[in-house]
Amino acid sequence: MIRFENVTKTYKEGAVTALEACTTEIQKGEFVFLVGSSGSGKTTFLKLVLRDEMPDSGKIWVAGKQIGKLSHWKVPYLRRNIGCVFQDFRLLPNRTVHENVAFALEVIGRPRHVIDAQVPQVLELVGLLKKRERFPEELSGGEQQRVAIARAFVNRPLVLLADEPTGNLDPATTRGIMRLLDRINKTGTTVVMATHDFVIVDSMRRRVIELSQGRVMRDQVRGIYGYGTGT
Amino acid sequence: MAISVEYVVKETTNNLWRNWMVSLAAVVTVAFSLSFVGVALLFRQEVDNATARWQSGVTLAIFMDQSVQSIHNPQAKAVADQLGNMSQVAKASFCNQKCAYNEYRQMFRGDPTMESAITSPSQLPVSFRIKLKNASQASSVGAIFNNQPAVQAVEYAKGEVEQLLKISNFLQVASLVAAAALLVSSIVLILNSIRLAIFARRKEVEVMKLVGATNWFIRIPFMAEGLIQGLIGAVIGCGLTAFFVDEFRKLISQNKIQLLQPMTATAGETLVVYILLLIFGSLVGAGGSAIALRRFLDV
Repeated sequence: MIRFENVTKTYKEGAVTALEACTTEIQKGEFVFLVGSSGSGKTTFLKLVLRDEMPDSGKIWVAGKQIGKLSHWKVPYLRRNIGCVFQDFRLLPNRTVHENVAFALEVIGRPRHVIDAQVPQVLELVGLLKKRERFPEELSGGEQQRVAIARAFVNRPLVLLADEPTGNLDPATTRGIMRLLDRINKTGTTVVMATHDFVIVDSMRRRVIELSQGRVMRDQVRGIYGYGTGT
Repeated sequence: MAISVEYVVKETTNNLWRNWMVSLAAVVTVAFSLSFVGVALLFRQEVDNATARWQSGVTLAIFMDQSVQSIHNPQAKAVADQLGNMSQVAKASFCNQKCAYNEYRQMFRGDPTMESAITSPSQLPVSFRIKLKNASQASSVGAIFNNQPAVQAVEYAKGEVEQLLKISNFLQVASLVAAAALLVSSIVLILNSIRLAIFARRKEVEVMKLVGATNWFIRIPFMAEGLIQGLIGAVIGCGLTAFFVDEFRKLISQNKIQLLQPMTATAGETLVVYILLLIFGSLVGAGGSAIALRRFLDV
């Protein structure tokens, strides 16, 4: 589903190395934790998958396509196969829960009857059907993140990328979010989650890819957070 | 993937409504910028018209001496024939003694000294009244007749005509330069306010990109919004233009500024200026949005 081959990415004209000769492969339906300290290259990894950034060298495949060769106008179509969740939710404050989720379908040109059918379905999945007319600021952090997940998943993407989705949440709420991501993964969606939270990594026992200074230090099936790499 | 009309209409109206303060700022900017451009354009048109009127109104008069009493006089005939063959002459007429007398009586009506000075038409010279196609030719045409036999004098407003032409040329150039400068500054102002409006909504654009909206899908509602703002701004701008021009005219007539009295524009010319403003407003609105979006759309 996702394959990195010798990918190097630097910022500021080579002064800062974010990823160095990174090679790894993530299969369809996997649940992968991307761990490592701040600046280890986790976010860069996710941005490269999304083609928000382009690598300096190396090749990246997503859903069978080498995305470096993708022409400009095809990038939006790549992104329709990828759902994204962030630490800061990135909801639109002037739209209701329903509108925020529907927005993701509207902008890719889905007809109204499809939107009206799918949005309540996914809101049911994340447990927010009753709050669909609320605005983001009226919701707790955990609920806002559920809306963000609903928006990322409503289009049934092949891959769900999550960049520290629980970074702003308390442990109990975090567990709820992780159960939700687990359910989404069970529908066949590949989930890649960058995180600092060793408690959830250790409790979930999924594949762990550890990055350190832009290199893959460890790639472990049913792994744990790691050995003193810092939290 | 087709972008649905329903989506564009909904997005555009919602966004105009949600961001009404920013919309208002853009509309007001467009309205005032364009009204200044409109005033400058109309002013130019009016100077143009006034100049044409001055020019067509300029009369050259050739006064014959006492030996000539009527148009049947051979020397008068010679002048008439010559005038008839000149391409610079728009219209020439003969004013006989009776015509001169009537004119005189009318000119000095209520002035007993002047009225008693001339008591019969035979005391007045006959003359040719000539309208020229171009006022600037007054002196050259005048020179041709000045030394002809039986011509007493050639009269026209020498200094005044030249002065008038100089002023009107200056006004035309000045108002055109002003219109161009205002146009440029209004483009900058309008672009800036649209850029601000879009900057305030960059989060929205980010989310749209994130979920895989194509660039055109992101652009079209913003452009429709810019178009509407530009159009509303232009309509208000036309109103302001009319208001300013009206006030300007009042000022002129109240202060009796002779030179500017003949300044008017026909309804058709005014309409052309308004249509220009509307086209310009919508173009700048829609185009400005597209340009302002560019930096947020770089994939």
